[in-house]
Amino acid sequence: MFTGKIKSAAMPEETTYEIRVQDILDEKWSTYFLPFTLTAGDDETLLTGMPHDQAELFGVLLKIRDQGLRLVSVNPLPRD
Amino acid sequence: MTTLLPTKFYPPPIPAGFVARPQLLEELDKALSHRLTLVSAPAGAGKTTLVSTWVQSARKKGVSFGWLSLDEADNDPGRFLEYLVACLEEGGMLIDTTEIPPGLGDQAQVEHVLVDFIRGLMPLKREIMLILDDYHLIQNKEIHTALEYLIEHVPPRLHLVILTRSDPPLELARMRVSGHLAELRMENLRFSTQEAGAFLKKFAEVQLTEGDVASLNERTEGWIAGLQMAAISIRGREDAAAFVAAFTGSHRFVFDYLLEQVLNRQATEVREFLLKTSVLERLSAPLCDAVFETGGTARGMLDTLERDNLFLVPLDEERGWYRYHHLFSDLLKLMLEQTHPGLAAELHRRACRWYEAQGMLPEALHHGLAAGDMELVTNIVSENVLALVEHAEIAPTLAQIDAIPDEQRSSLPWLEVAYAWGLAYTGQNQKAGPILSLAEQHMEGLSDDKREKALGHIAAVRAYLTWTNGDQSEEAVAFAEKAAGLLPAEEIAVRALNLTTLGNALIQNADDPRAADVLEQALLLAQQAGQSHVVMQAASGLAYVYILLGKSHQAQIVCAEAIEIVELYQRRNARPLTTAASVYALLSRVWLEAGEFEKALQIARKGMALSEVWGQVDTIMMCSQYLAYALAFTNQAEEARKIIQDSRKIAQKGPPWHLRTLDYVELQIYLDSDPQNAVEIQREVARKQETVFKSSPLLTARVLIKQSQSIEALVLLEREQANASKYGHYRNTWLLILKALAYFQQKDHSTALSSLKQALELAESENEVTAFVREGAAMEKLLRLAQARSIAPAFVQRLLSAFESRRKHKPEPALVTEALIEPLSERELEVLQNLNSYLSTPEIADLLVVSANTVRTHIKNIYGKLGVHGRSGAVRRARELGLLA
Repeated sequence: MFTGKIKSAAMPEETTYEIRVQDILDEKWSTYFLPFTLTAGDDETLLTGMPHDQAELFGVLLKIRDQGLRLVSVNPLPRD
Repeated sequence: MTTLLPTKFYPPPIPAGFVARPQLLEELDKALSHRLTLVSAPAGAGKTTLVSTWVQSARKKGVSFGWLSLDEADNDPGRFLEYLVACLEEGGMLIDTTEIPPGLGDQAQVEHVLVDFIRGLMPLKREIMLILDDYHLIQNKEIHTALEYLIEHVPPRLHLVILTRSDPPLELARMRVSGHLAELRMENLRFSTQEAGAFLKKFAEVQLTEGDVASLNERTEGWIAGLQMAAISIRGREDAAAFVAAFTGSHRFVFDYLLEQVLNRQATEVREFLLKTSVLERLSAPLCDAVFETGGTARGMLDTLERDNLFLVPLDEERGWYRYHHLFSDLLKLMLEQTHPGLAAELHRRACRWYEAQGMLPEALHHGLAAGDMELVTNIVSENVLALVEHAEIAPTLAQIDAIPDEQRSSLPWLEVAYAWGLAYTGQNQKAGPILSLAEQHMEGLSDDKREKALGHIAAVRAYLTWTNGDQSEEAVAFAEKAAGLLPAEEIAVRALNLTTLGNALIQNADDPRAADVLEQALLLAQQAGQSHVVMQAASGLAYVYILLGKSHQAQIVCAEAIEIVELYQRRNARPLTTAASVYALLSRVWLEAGEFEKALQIARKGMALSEVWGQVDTIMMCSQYLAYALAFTNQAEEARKIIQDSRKIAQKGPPWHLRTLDYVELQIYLDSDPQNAVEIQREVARKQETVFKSSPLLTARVLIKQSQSIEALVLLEREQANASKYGHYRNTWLLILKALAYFQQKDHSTALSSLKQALELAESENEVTAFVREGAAMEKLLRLAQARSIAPAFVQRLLSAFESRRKHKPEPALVTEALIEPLSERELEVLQNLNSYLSTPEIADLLVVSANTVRTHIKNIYGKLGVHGRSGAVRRARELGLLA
């Protein structure tokens, strides 16, 4: 899955990412994915956060893998 | 060679009542016809259990296997390769490979090791499976590349199996196309409805409807861990159907939901136990009792939990240690925080104190840091600074301290002091200096007496660093004296170490007699301190200065007494005392000077092996020197050169003194071979650093004489004569020998003989044979002259005989038939016989009716006594010694 090259350069400008997983997580998970915060939906959980760099982003993705959560999407939010 | 953890080679046991899935086992049989089999599926899918089961059945069919459970620390290529080789050896294979040099760095080196490794595997007569569990923890690119190289060039009988949570970044597509890859993925591991039904019937102990089975299987998507948790949750329920309905109706994260269910089904005590012990990386009954704080119930809990086969993985056959299945540890910790907010810190603190009481300091440090209790951490560190760098290996402790964020570390000068000691011991002098300055700046927070103590430590580390820098002996002496003034009386260990540094610096300053006094004090103090490496350092320092003072007899006694301590320790702790390396090195030198080259070689090998495990750089350097000399004197000059080459790689990372010493040793060894070709000699000399000659006028004179420049040599020697009053016995003897040779070259026989006579007088009482024998043909001629003039007849005769026997010695390699200094015990011999079979360690254990750990201990001792690093080395050496046919 994540066989891409990870560049640990800091993001050019701070980017906010939205990660969606197809499982519903409750409050006890709230600090587990920092710097991402959780918003539970009906059948999805939304993780929102501004990782310091790619390495931190991938660290969170690996946690998602390790807990067996199902990844739906990873998207940067448009800056406004 | 690092100390290898046996738990990593131990495939987790198969749970009782396990549901075999024959079609999957058949799939795995395909592994024997593929280079790589990939088992890639999320946590809890049953990968490890499946492969572990398959391995048992394959073993019966005569397949050998090596199992390696990987962890994050294996991301270092050198360590990874070491473990790779070791796990195959553990599985019964002999791998004829060179030793992996410490600090394996670049790609070229890694490939070199692999080429060797592959070649060593070539003559395989059995199919071998190499199984790597938890490969997703490996993120180091060099290791991935190395593995690809291995797969590319793998000998036909070796097969790899990789278990992972996500596909590794290897060229999988290419392997698929070439038919080299077999795979098992989630779609294969997923339970079918039928399989789920069979499983649930057995484990839920309740008859479920087909519909309910289907629903459960669908909701968990055939995930075995989920099915297992569901089964446990259903057990003993009256209304299983209601559970299924609620479960399938919920949208919550399946894992979360089920774990909660499982916990709710446990007795309160068990639930609390699970939550509270989740902070531990590894669990044992006594540790859990300490953390859980209800005396004595932990053993029962662990047994119960193991029976359920869900949470705990045993780490050894004795059921002494466990860990939580990786799947659960994180979530349990989150649940702990939810049910007992803030308790985790206190639990870590309890674990920290337990580990400290056991003297397991790196683990204590880990938990103290996890507790965020910097005061506790500081106390542990300040009370145990030297112990932290003594235990087993320095590197892990250093890594831990390195991992503490700078701001935190700098608010605790004691951490910086400990860090500096660790850096100094591993030869990282450049880094250590600034850390010490930082530590000095951060002294404000400390109370007066703590500050003095810290400043004393800082001065002691500075003294040590300056000494190992090699050409600042006066500064080193100054620092050591300053430290002595600051260190409070109760800091016995550091004071002893500091005195040792002072003694060593004085030797460097050519003040041997005062050094001897200081080192005698150091040893007495060290013996009070009870810290082994301090005793060993003091003993070896003292032995060294005794040799320089011409008291080899006393040197031998000091070493012998130290070795008694070593043997006591080893008997009590069933593992080698790595810090004793320097004592073995010095003992080897004693034998060298006396002309007992074979003995010297054996002891030197032993010292070398130990020093590499401990990892203190100046000890490694000392051991490699004496090993090189011993090899050279037993006609193994090529080997000697190789040792020096390997040591240069380590020396390059440390202070310049080490490189200079290696140059010195290499040149001495070269001159000992009695070269005659002037051009060759010049070439050898030109390759050495300037500083080698500047710092050793006697070596310079020796070179000049070999180059037939006796006039220049004499000028140098006369100048040194003026310093002779500072010189101890050893250097004086050498000075006189060189003078004798120089005058002999000038054809001034009477002056030559006069010098020689003085040298003989000095050397005779301690039987210092080597100093003469090493000077080759010229010395032999001169000695015959002396014999004709009846000068020191008995000693001269002995020397001439030594020349004779050196000539008779076979060129290379010497067939060694001496007895071992430390013979193998009967048990060890038994184990040794079995190393030359394809028996794995557990199989040998079965054969001898002992535990696998006992066998591992025997094996470690065998390696130590034979001075080797692996099975094939042991077999080879044993054959040389006539212990094996």
